[in-house]
Amino acid sequence: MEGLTASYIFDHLAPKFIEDNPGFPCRVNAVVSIDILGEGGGSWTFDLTDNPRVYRGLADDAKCTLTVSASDFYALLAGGSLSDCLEAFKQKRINFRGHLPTALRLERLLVSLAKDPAIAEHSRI
Amino acid sequence: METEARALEGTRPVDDPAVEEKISFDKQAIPTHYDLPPAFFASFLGPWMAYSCAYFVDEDGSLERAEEDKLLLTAKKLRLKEDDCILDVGCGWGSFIFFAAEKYGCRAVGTTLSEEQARLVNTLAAERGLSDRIRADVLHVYEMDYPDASFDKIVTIGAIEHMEDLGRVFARCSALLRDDGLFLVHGMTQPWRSREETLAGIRTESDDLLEEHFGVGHWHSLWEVIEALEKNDFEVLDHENITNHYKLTVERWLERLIDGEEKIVGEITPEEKYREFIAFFASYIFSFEMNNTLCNQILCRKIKRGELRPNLPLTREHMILHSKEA
Ligand SMILES: C[S@@+](CC[C@H](N)C(=O)[O-])C[C@H]1O[C@@H](n2cnc3c(N)ncnc32)[C@H](O)[C@@H]1O
Repeated sequence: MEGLTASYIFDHLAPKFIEDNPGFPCRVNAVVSIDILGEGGGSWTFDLTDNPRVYRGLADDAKCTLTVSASDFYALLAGGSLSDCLEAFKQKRINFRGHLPTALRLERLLVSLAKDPAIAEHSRI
Repeated sequence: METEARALEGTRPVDDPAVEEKISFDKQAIPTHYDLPPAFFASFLGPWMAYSCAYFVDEDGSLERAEEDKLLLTAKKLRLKEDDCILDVGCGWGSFIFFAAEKYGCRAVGTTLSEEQARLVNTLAAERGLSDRIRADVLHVYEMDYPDASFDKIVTIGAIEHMEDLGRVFARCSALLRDDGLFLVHGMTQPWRSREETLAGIRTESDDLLEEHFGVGHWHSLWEVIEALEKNDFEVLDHENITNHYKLTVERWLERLIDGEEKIVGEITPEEKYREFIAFFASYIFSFEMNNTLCNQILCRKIKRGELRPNLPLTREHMILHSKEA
């Protein structure tokens, strides 16, 4: 995971994407948390409601909470494909609580993050 | 039933080796989905076992109510009458044919590609003393060889998504329907922009989704459906966009699957299949939310140019769900 940290993704890239794409939170219009397990992991929440922001920790009021291992998380992020994420779910590599379709609304963010040079580079490691 | 005289008078429906090949492909691919144990589908569908869009009068409505309301709405649009003989193309586990027979006293034939579904329908019909009114045949839509003009009404609900050549499908339906008969097409379409990509060879998420889950998927655009109808002597009497109803329907199916996990996994289906359906329903809902998938009910009438036009209802009142008119 050298060169790529969860903090870089959630504290830098994701907030920037939200800032650059003001229409995105309206499309999601929900709170989604993600719990990344293992080394290089952590918990983050996308609050994409009235005051869009990304913060550390899980939210009690999340419409959906995803759980994934760090290694799967980075691989799926680099792939940037919603279909691959659903495939991972079928294989029990992703789990969820709440309303799964809401989490799928993050697709645009996923596709955009996959294009970041550090993430793309990571996928070649 | 009269329609048991199958193939005696019917025009030979298939004459092309490429079509024969497609038929064999569909016959093998479609049942991979529908031949799963009925108990699995029963674990998330409503009591009528309708595997298609229900009709919600409010966002919080129950699946049970919405499922029955869809059947009622469909019956109203078709102006079902006791002596009607109905064909349901792609009948599933028989929701509409049972509804038509039990609530209106109609006779009804359903077709499906799934042996499991046909067996269940025919067994239930026998158990309920309805064998003289209801029958399911395992028959590809291109091969429907009932006598011409043997049906008063035809319906197809949630099945055109599996059918590639709608011109061929509607030509068969047109031949089997009596003049002036009503035909209701209920099915999903994709917006033209997505369809255009599919036709240009670019796979869309919707294409992948359908094909992966059902084995066969063909999502047309609404105007293509209407074009194929008009080219086969149907006039469109009414179109209702029911996309949001389908999103709510799949939400209910998903809730039931999730709530029933403990019982379903292991007892009814392996976890892998269970998860496949969860993923499928989640992406289905997402696809409705993002305007990648639409759902429609199109009511048509078979017309003949030069024939005197009958009186038809002047308003939509008769097809409003809980209106007093029949
Ligand atoms: C989604 S189910 C809908 C069933 C039913 N109309 C309902 O509302 O519950 C689709 C049905 O279409 C049938 N089907 C799919 N392709 C077909 C084909 N080429 N010819 C005949 N039936 C077909 C399937 O076997 C299945 O019964």
